Amino acid sequence: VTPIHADYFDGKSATRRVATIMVAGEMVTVSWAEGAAEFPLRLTRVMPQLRGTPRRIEFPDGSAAIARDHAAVEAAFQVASARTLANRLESHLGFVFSALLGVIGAVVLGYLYGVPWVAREIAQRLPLEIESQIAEAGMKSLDQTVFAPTRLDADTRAKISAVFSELRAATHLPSTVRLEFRDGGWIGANAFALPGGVVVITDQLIEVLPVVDEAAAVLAHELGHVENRHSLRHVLQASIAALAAAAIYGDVASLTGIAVTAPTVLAHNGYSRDFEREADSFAFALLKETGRSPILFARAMRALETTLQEKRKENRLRKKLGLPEAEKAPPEERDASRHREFDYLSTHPPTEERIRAAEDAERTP
Amino acid sequence: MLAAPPNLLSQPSYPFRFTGTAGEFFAIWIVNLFLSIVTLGIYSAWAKVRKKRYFYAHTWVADANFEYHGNPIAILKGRIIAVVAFAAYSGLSQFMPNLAAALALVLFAAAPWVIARSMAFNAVNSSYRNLRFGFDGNYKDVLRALWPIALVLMLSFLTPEWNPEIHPMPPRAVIAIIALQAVTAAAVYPFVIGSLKRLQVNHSKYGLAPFGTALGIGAFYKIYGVMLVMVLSAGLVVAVLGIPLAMLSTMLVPVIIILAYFGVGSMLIAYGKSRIGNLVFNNTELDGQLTFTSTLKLGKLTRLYLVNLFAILFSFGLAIPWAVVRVIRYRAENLSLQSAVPLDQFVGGVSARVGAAGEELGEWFDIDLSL
Repeated sequence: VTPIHADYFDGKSATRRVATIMVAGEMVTVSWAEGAAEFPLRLTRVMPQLRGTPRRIEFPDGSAAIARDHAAVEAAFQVASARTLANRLESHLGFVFSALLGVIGAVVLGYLYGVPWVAREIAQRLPLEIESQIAEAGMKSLDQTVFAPTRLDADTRAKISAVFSELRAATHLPSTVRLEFRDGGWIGANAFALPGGVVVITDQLIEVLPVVDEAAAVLAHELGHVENRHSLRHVLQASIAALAAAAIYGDVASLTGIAVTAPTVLAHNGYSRDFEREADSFAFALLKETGRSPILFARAMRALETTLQEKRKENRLRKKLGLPEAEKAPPEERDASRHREFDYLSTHPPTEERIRAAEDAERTP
Repeated sequence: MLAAPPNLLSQPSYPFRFTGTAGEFFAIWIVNLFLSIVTLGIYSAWAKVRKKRYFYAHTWVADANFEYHGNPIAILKGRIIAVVAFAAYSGLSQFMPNLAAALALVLFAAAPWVIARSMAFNAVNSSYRNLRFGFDGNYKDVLRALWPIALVLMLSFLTPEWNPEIHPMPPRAVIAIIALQAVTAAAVYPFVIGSLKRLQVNHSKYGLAPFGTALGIGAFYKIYGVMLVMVLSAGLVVAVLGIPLAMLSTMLVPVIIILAYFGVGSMLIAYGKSRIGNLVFNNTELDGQLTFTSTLKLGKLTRLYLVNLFAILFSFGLAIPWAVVRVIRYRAENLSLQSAVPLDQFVGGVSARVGAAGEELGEWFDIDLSL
């Protein structure tokens, strides 16, 4: 039997003893320059291997030996099979590669299907009222910072409100879902669905869309956000994605603040686009159900797009002439003013795509 | 500060060494990640133990390595508690802010316990030469370091966010309160971090031998003061150089923002880590016999972080193991211990078992406590 070279530590002091270990029959003998110790083999524990690190052998009295020669340890203690599953996987190049593919696959699938699915399942189980607190707080802070009271006359408001009620009645949504009019301030022509079912439409949007039925198309879209619980799902998806990112990137705690924000922002915007599409198809169905054409939505999109282009053209011209910008180019809905330049970074699908979808919806019975 | 040992130069010095490699750690990391995903996170406790065992076992000084002995089951239990607390908090904060605030208060009251527990769990489960470390700080000790944070929290109760009926408040007053809060937070931050570091050293043991430091809080204020000046001057440089460049071409704007953000971010983190790391280690002694020398450099660490950041971003996170190993190796290469007496003489004691809940809560709520 060949002795194993090891460092022996008695567990009572920091003394390092250069020792040899011999396994003979049922006994393990550790011997060093000035002494020796003997332990029963069955009470001696050989710790599982961890790549590139020496092997720890624990004895019943709390002492331990550290040996570098894994082969000798495994032969002497007959623990070749004591390698743990994780260790075998780590040392097998094929498995490491499969794990890599598995992780990439899981991240991609989790992002595409897993996170949205979990968020939807949770959202469906929570009542709409749970969101109303956020809605009130959100509305209040928007009123303080962005919005001004509406300038629309009572007649226009009544007409639009009637259409909104008609649309809402055609859904399963409760009557607590309501419409609010506001002067949009710097955000301009815009419509939102706040959590809890508050839909806000700005005066500027009504100015761009004077035809009540075109405004109805936009309202139907916003009701799609309410019906599908998009604001709640947004919050849930962001939380789930952030948790997952923290779990994966946890190794670089000090860098996470900087490095993790980028992928989470991208994920966030990707999900927003899916929600817009979902709300669009809900709107098409709702428009048809209330005897309207999905083409109305296409028209509304075009009108908004044209206004945006005109404002941009005007601003470019003013810039050339050295004049100050007349007005910020109004975003078509939320912050879509960027979507031409940064397709993925936009929170809205490109308008052409949505217009085409509306036309398709018109054709299909 | 402790009186320097009389013949510092003649003392034998033992350099730290890290022998792990990016390739090995990548295999451990990716298998950890894969098994954690497949088991819906349950394996993550075992993954954490494997990771820590790998880093400890590859850290050598004076012919011996460190070892980690944390029990995955204890970590799993702690993780479950942490996840439940985190889910409860984030759920409530979205829908019932008042209840969430109450929960935050409870968690804040528990924070000293969480921190003391996590420090103890880490220490007790670490060993060198088969001799365990220990930590005997308790709730009261940690509270003595954390209490100024309560001042910052108390200021937020003055804002109408919390109490709209009682305080009809002009926006200007709200802004003043928020500004006051930010200034208070900045003013107490060095105190809290410094006190925590001091507490960690002064209540730690190696075997029966106590660690100690006579480090004052003033040194921490100096470091954070320099960091504040760095942020301000970086802002000035970005404004002076960046704005004319941005005027030349709007295409350059995102590039300037990213470079400034990453560059300044890396430098700030590097400054904080290197200065505080050096400060704490250089002022720590073990049993009056053994001292440390830490020589982290700002420039080298900044480059390390910057390269790591870009490598992680461009590899979609796959370079994390490589990045982590680089930093740990640099940390080890710049640390040594000096001992007037043979290392063999330290004597052990029996450490009580400590549950992992504290440490895991600390990790999930992102309280960085690493020495």
